[in-house]
Amino acid sequence: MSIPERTQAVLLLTLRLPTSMSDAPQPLTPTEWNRFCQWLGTVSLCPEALLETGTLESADSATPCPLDVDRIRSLLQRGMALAVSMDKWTKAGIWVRTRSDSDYPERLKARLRSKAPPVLFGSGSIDLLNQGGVAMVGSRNVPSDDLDSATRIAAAVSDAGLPVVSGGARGVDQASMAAALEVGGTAIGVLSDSLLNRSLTADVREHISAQSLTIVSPYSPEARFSVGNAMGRNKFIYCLADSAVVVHSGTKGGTWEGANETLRQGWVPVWVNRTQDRAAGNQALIDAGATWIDSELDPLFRASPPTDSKTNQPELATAAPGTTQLSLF
Amino acid sequence: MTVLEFDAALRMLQAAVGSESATFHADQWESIDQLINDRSRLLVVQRTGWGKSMVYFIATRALRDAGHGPTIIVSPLLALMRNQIAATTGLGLNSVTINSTNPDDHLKIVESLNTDEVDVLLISPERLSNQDFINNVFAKIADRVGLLVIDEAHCISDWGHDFRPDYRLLRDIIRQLPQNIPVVGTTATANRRVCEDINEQLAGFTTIRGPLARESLRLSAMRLVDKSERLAWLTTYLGNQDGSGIVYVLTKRDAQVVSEWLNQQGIKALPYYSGVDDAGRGSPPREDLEQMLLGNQLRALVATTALGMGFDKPDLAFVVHFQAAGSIVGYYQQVGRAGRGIAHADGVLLSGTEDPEIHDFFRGSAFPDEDHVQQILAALRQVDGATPRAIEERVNVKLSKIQNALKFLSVEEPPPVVKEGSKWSLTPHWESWSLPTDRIAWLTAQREREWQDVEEYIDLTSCRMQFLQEQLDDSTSQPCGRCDNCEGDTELPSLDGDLIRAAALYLKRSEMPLEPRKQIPRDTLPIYDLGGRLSEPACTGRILSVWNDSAWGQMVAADKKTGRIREDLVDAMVEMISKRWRPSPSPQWVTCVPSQSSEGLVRDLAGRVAAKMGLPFVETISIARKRPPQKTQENSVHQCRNLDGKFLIDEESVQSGPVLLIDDIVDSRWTLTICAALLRKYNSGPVLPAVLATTNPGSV
Repeated sequence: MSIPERTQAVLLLTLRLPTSMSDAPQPLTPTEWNRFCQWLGTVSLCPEALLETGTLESADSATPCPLDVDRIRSLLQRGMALAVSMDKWTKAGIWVRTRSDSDYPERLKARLRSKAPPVLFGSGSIDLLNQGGVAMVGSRNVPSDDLDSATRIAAAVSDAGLPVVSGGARGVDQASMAAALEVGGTAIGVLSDSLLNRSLTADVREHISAQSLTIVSPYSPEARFSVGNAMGRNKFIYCLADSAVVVHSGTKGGTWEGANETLRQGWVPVWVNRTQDRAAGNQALIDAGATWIDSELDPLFRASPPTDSKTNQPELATAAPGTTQLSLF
Repeated sequence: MTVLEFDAALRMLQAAVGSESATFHADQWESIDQLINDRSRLLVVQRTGWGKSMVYFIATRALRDAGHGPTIIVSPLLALMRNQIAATTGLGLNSVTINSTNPDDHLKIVESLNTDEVDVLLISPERLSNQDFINNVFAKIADRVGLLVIDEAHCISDWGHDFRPDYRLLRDIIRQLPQNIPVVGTTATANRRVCEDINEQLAGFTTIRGPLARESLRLSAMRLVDKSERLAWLTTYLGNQDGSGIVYVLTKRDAQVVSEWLNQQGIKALPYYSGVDDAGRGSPPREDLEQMLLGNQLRALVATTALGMGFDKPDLAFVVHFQAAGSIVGYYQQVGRAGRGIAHADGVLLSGTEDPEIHDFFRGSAFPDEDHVQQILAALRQVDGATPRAIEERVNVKLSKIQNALKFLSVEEPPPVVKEGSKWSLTPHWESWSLPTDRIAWLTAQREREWQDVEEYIDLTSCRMQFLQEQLDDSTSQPCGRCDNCEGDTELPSLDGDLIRAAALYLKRSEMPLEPRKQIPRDTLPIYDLGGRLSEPACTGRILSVWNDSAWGQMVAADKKTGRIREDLVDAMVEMISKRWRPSPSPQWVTCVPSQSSEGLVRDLAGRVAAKMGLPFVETISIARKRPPQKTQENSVHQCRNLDGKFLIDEESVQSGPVLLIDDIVDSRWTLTICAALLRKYNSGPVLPAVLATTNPGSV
């Protein structure tokens, strides 16, 4: 059950580990990671090569690394900490994929390019992540008729044979996902925290075993809740799906920010539920370019996956065997 | 980058050993070179005394000099051996130990880990499965560990003799280790099969093996059927020499019995087993016991296999096995410690009638029961997570068996359960997992074969050392010229008849205290309305023997079948109570635990005991409701529930004075505890339990 060397190297460089002390070397942020990958391309190295003694130093002397070499070296020495955590997580059924893995979700790569998360942890079927579906998002505290709408829409998505993609939070997220599973459909949860603990609860476990639920997170399986991560993962919910429904939004906060970002970036079409709540931001989203959805839900299911998901993106194409053209990892 | 040159390494060796002329043993430099310069992963198989620890201490020195973090050594040893301490001092390495016996030192140690003052951290194998250790100690250095050392690496192997779940976990962690972290496993005992198995379990390791013969070791073996004969032999043997050594036994009870006998014979000995230094037992801590033997303040430690491998006393004069080890590799492991630094040392294997049965029991209890596992998994299915005690309430399985089963399951591939904090949960793997009954059957058959090899060794007429070496795939083997067979010494020694009689008498008088339970699990006795701490528990009582063990124990087993306890046993019980125990307050009347099954046996026993002691016998307790036999109830919660409302007290017949409460067998002590509580409830005096035998010597 051990992971490929490349994955080990990526994790050593980018992952915050549960056993790390506060003064530990800081893992690379996604932005830093991308810059580092460009340098790897320049010096013709793949991440796992850095595990060999001396490789980092000789590459740096050929072409100076844009990041502090001492920091990189310290991060690479965290093998023992990584091993203890990976052992625990894989035993609990959690898998990990990096951007260069062949079964990394295609939609994330196609839509986000270098903003796709370098690392994705998950539990449950990976194939489910490539089936598109309808993202369903909304606030934690919503009027009950909006929860009913969420349930109704989720059931319809399941009937249409598509996964419901959401964030696993209280409120609209959980109502949508539960409704889909209830009627025998499938669901994907992009979690902002606690992937490990969630995967071990009785009902999540049952659905994962039945292959009807997959939960993922771009953060450590033992990450604690943080507002930054909660907001940060919203884009991944949209990008894994092919269309989205905002059931209820505030005029600020996670749902609001995520919906507006999607409208600006154009990742997927955004539909908005007609809420009775006058204080909601739903109308404002319409003004920003979203479309109302009523009882006629068919439009939700007509969106198609990104057409360029498999074509050659210079930054993200996996190298053909035998070529020297390297890609972002 | 670390490149360690030969010259620098040699200087380190000389500093470590404290001698400018020291040189490496064959393969020592090669091992260090591969570890440091090639960042290889090594399995070093060399006999005790070759200097395995020198390899990783020098490697640590070199790594630290190059700016790497500390080394973690995983070892069952509780402390570094004297020569290891000398080596680390010579190399200027600061080494600390974390094991469960020094919790007070933890804070200090954690402080020094913080300031990067620690070069070597020695931990016991079960630490890495302890979340507190991971969070509070391991976390301090996890990001920087420069080298991982696994002592007793043969424990990773499945091949019979010493498989331990904690080593399985180590194997799993090593498999997840990126290749830039070097690892070295060391062992003094691994035959080719074990090495092959380890190589299969841990890919990418290079094995370095050396010859295993011990030049100064004189081996012999004999069958001495009765324990009394072996006790007599041991007395004579130790009386004829000055040296100190180890006497190996198979059970904790035997460790107590043998060491007490030796002390009575004027030979200073102490028992050594896991838990010997638990609170209330009055034993020095295990670490101190080891030091006492090292310093020759004792003639012998009477030990179970808990006396680790790696215990290294250069002048260990003898290793005597009072009962045979279960495998040749295990035997060599233990006997190979003798004689490292002296001209002459003895390795004697005595074997008795009880050995095959004990090993059969070990084989049968090595793996969890399929039925128990199914029950545990079913219970976990209902919840997000549960502690072992919570599982105990739902599942009629002994708590310790629940814990062992969970540990076993947690290192299966892939594991159906995982531990998070103090709770166990099912993993998604649980549905597709099933108990590997084929592998278990195969391993059990393997262990039976290994036991047969030991039987062959005992009856061997050719060179013993050569036999051992061949079993260990040591290609340099030839006749040693020193063992009993090579010297033509094939007659059984003549034993001192008086000593044998004294030993037999001793065994008949080695009763055990019976500690009553003091606390009742909640909600288990609603009818009696008893729960929590008992205000007047029974007094400490006495148990005459261990079921089916030696003289008395075997008689008890036989008499249970015939339905009447023989006169000798009644006399023995009376003698135990009035001559040796002499309880205070002394009993004024006698009663007994009523029995559902053995019609009148206990009543008859109690009546006769009472008559011989001149005390009135009153039957105050009777059976109110029939229940399944107590022995079908496997844990405390179920045992108590099963007793609720079972007994009825005849209040009027309860006397107010101290009372002897008699039963034939005790197992979990709940029956005695509850009967005593009921007697007290109806105003009897203090309750003094006395029984013939226990079926559970580990729990008293």
